[in-house]
Amino acid sequence: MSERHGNFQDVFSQLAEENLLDSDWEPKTRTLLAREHNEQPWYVRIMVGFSAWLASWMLIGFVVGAAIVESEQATLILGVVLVVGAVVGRCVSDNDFITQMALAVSLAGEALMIFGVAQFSESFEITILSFVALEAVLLAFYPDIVHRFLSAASIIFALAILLFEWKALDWVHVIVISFAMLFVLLVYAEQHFLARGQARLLTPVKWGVLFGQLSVLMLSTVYVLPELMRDMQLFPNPWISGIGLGLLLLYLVYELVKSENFTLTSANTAALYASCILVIILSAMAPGLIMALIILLLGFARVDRVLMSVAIGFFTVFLTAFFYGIELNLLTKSMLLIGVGALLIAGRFGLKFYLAAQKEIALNE
Amino acid sequence: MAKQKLSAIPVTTRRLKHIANELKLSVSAQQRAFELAGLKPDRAAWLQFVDRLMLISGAALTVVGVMAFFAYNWAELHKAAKFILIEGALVAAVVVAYFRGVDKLSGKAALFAAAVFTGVLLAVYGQTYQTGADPYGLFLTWAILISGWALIGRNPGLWLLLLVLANLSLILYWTQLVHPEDWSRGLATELGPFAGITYSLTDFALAQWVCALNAFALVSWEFFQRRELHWMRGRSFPRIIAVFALVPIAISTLIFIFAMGAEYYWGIRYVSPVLFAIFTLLALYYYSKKLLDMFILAVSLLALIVIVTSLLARVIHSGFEMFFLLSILVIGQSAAAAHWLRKVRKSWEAQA
Repeated sequence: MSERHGNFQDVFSQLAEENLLDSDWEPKTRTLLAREHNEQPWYVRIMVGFSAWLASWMLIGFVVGAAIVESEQATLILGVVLVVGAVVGRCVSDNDFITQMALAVSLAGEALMIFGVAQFSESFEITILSFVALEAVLLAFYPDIVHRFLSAASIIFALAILLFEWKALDWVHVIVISFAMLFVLLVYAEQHFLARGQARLLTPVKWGVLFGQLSVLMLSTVYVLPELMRDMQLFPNPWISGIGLGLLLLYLVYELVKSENFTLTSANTAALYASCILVIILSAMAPGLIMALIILLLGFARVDRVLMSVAIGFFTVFLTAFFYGIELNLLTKSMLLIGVGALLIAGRFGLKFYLAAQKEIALNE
Repeated sequence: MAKQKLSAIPVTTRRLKHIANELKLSVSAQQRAFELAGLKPDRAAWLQFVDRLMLISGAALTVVGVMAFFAYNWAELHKAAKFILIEGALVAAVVVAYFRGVDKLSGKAALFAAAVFTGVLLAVYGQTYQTGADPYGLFLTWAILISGWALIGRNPGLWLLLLVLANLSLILYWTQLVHPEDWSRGLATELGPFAGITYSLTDFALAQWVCALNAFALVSWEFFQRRELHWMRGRSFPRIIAVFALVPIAISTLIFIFAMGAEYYWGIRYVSPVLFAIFTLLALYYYSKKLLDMFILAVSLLALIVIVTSLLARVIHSGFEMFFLLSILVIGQSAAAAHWLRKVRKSWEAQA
């Protein structure tokens, strides 16, 4: 399926004819298309985000090095001033320089605020929870795509760090599964957000949640020497995440079959779910493979090429890291991978034969 | 775009979402618009997608599984059985590729699998007979053996595999034969093969050779791509090669900047910044004037910002005020870069 199809004239005039669009859609659409054209692609935004991050460190270096603030209260207050200033600056201007400046100043201000809270409270938990609260507030009030992406992802990282501090890494699965669910929900709710004109909130949060969740999921491939981890495992029992994500995959398949109006016989339905369950069981120790499948299905259903590229990229990176990880021995890994691979290839041939048989029946009738 | 007729502007997912958001189109209107624009996969599209998904992911997982199986070096398995298994898989993959044809997806997947199995066969041979050959020899032989398939395969994935093997051969040749004694590299390798390879790029001469190799591959790809070869149309491959070429020389240039004057780095170190400047400037010129590629432009600009800022940080010695100056400079550079990228895109649109 190609991504480019009808043109705006045909599609929107038909919508207007069906009373789904106002009659003055034409000049508005023209102006909006010109504005859309000004928006930068994602990799340019990454460049901008990285530069702002770099600049924010230099600002922090300046503030700390030049001893502008000497007490924890002063650090906290300066942090608040910088963040508020950045939010106001970003709200009043869309200019490239102001946007970058505000982003860098805000990141520096946030770091100072958190540093101030850490000094003030002398508690790691309070510091992390304050950070989460601050990012949640900024997510709502700082109208910048790059910042919202960073806020959403950093909330997930902060929660993972908190689990590490509490020595409760068994709960890492809650983060992996719940944020995967949130991501699926955001993709499904996208049209409702767009209907309220909230794309600038939804889009960066959706990507931030995905980035944060995938980063935490990558921990399942990392092996750290027990001596370094004080006998804690970084990602214990990865199969728990595997099963949780597997259930999400099953739900997604169910929703897709329902929403796309596929007419399946009961035998076909049973074969579909049985294959999914087999794939889930075989790849439960490699939960990243199931997550890649979830993203890929969503990307295809929504005709979102970026989402599909992320799924393919993550699949490759996860598979490579899984290959080198030493949690499982190579023989077990090879059996798992060959098992899932052979199952998928066999499923493909089964599908081919089934479709050919169906075609023959239709021709005979 | 503002002057273009609406009938000449194709509806894409991104554009439609943007318009839907700005006009606050109802959910039902959005769904209908996606339907009318053909942006909703139908039954045939779903079947094709599922078919491809199962074939490609199934083949990828099986190939990696086979690699893991032989990497395990199962002692109980007789050497003859190992050879029969891997050679059987290799022959089967080649037969499938031959009968399906290299233009079909299944043929492409089979040929790629055969190329990977060739490397596994060489590794099993090395394991079994303990040839004592240096590992670079394995990658080089592998690359030479599959180069014929890359030539006939019309598959960017095969070319990427060949290029990765060429890079590995060069890096391992350098670290094992030219400069074998480096305890710090050995330490980095302990952290994993990726860390070891990345660390080895801190060697000036090696980084320069790696950059030259990938730059040559990039230039060759762009040259042949202009000859309207349909399988070379995708931009993923040249983008990956551009990153392969830029990263080593950028690392090398950063080391040059921060280690200026250090005895250890005497020699051909001056070549790195020169090579970096030539590569980025040529990339910025070519991909803004001759062929628009915003990704390579953005990556080149980011590398340039990092290098220019590092150079100024090294040159300016004026206490902590320097940090403030540098932060403003970084912000100014990235704002200018974003502005220029937008201008480049608009100029291409105007020409179209």
